[in-house]
Amino acid sequence: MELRKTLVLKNRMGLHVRPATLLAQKANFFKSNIFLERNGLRANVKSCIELLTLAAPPDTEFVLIANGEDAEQAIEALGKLFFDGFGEPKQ
Amino acid sequence: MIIKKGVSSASGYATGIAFVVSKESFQITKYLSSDQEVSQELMRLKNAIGKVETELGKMIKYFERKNFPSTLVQIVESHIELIKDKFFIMEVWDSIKDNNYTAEYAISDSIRKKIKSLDLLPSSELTSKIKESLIYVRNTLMGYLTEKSSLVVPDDGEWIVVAENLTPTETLQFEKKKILGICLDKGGRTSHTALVAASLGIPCIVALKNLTSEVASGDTIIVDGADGTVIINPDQSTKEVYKKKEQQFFIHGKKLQEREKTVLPVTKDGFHVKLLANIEFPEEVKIALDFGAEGIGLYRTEFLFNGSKSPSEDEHFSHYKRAIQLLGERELVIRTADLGADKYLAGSNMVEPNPFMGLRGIRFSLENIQIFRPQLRALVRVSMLGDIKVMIPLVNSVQEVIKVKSLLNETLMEMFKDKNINSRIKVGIMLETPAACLMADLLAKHVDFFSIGTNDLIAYLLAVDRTNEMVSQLYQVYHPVLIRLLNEVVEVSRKNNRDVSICGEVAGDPLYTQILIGMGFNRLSMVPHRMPQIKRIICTSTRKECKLLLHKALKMKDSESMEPLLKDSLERVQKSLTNSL
Repeated sequence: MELRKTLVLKNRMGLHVRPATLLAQKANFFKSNIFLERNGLRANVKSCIELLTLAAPPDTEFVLIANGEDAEQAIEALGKLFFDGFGEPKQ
Repeated sequence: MIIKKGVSSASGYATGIAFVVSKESFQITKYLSSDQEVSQELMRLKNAIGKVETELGKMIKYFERKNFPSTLVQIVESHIELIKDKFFIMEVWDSIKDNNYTAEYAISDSIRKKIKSLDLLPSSELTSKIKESLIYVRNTLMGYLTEKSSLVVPDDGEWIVVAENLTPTETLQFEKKKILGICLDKGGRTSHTALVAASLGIPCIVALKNLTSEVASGDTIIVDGADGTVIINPDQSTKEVYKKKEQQFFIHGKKLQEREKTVLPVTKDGFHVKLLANIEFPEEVKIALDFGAEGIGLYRTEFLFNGSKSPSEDEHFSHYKRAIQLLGERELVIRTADLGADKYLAGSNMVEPNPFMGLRGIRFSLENIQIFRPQLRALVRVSMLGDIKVMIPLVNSVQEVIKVKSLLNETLMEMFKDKNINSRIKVGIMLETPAACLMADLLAKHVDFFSIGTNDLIAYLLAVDRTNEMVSQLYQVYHPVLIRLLNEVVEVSRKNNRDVSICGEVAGDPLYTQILIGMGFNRLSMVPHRMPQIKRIICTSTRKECKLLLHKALKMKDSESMEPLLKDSLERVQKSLTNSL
């Protein structure tokens, strides 16, 4: 099963080390293959180093793609991290 | 003489010799010499990653024990994640196999490509931060591949470290060296490195732009943390001016501390709470005494086991002896090694499904007598020099106490065969499992004292692993069950005439101080820098109001109602404190 969801990065600093590691940590709980796409760039969410190379500033729009048996749960869990602004103080 | 202006992020003055850290000094060979070396190269990579992980893991524990800001812990946690990124490792792995590259070159090549792709984007604070992280990954792995940490400051000499930038992890390594000051080309006043420098008491100047290219290792440097300036190769008169400033700063700081130190931690109605310190290295005794500690309530000995071999009897002995020398007549509680769980011996391949409930603490020591015996012998020897107390971790039964005591007696017999020497060593135990707490009345018959380790006790009481982010919010320090249990243990100890102290984080938690006084705890052991605040709370409270608070607390049904009660009470005390000033 492949699922897609569009998400907007809402935090002060953009996709820096902390959000990237949080995303990768969480993504590694799931069996699905999970990717973030941005302007044709694609990064494996299970790799924090790949996420960093996206160098995504605040307000970037992403497509989160999950492919596998637990795709639904993966999208929900990772979407929640975006939604909560990675636990950082709000803008 | 050159004067450079930067931003001061930690105050103080220092004069020392420059040690310039160059980050590009790795010598790299590109290709392996023959096919056979590929598998060896992959092993080297694997080992390096393993080592970094263990080192950083230790660092996190250290930060937590010292109550460093949680943001620092998060940074190091992120660094661990970066280093062990499977996909990055796979990429490097393939590059070694496919191209016959050395591990160093494969890493360097892979990181360089990533940085190059970032350079195509418009540069911003974010891209420069990301580049820094990638360079950190490269340098750290390189350092461990060449069996060197990325920073190797010589042991002797009084250094001022000059670097482009440092990670908090790197800064922390300075604690054990003689580093008098830090000067960085980059960084900001509130960067994490600056925080670490401040907590180590080292002046730190950041944002010095290109200082690294203007200073050579060996130059004399003055760091002025008040002004944010760095003076390179100062002339004689400047040196003298700063010598005076240094002395004055030192004396002023001492005066403030002196005043605090002479105040005894006694409540307004005369209840004396003995404040003891938790330490890891003998040298920390000095810091503890500076903060007004009346003794050492917990000397952790795990750090002795950091090397590749377990320590010899003499190594144990020389550390303990040093601590006694620094303490004089004051009390010293030495805890036998609490290995297992998160602290393994180097080189051990032990894998346990649930180490937290596995072979750790005294269980480990009793299973590894060859490691335990040298420690016991050293403890016997050192007991001839001063009044030490031995504390056993993770005791669950009377049997374990009897075993340790008979081992200790055996040791005594074999060391002093014919002489009739009576053991004066007092033996106590940690109460850190529910079992031990509930059996305290029976254990009391076999031990001289108790010390409650609240960190693990909370985890075992609530069945929550606080390092597991799925449940860590359930690790509730103010859960009523802990308060009830502490209250019972102190009562049982009193009835059995045994000293009882607390050596977990609860002992240094300002929210807990009053309720602990209410229960009647008169011995609290904590990290030294917590003492001044705890002491002020004690001095502004009365035992009577603390008992009243306890009475209310014992009726609380959950952590959510307990915490506001304790906060409220603390605020009232703090208000009366500010009014009295």
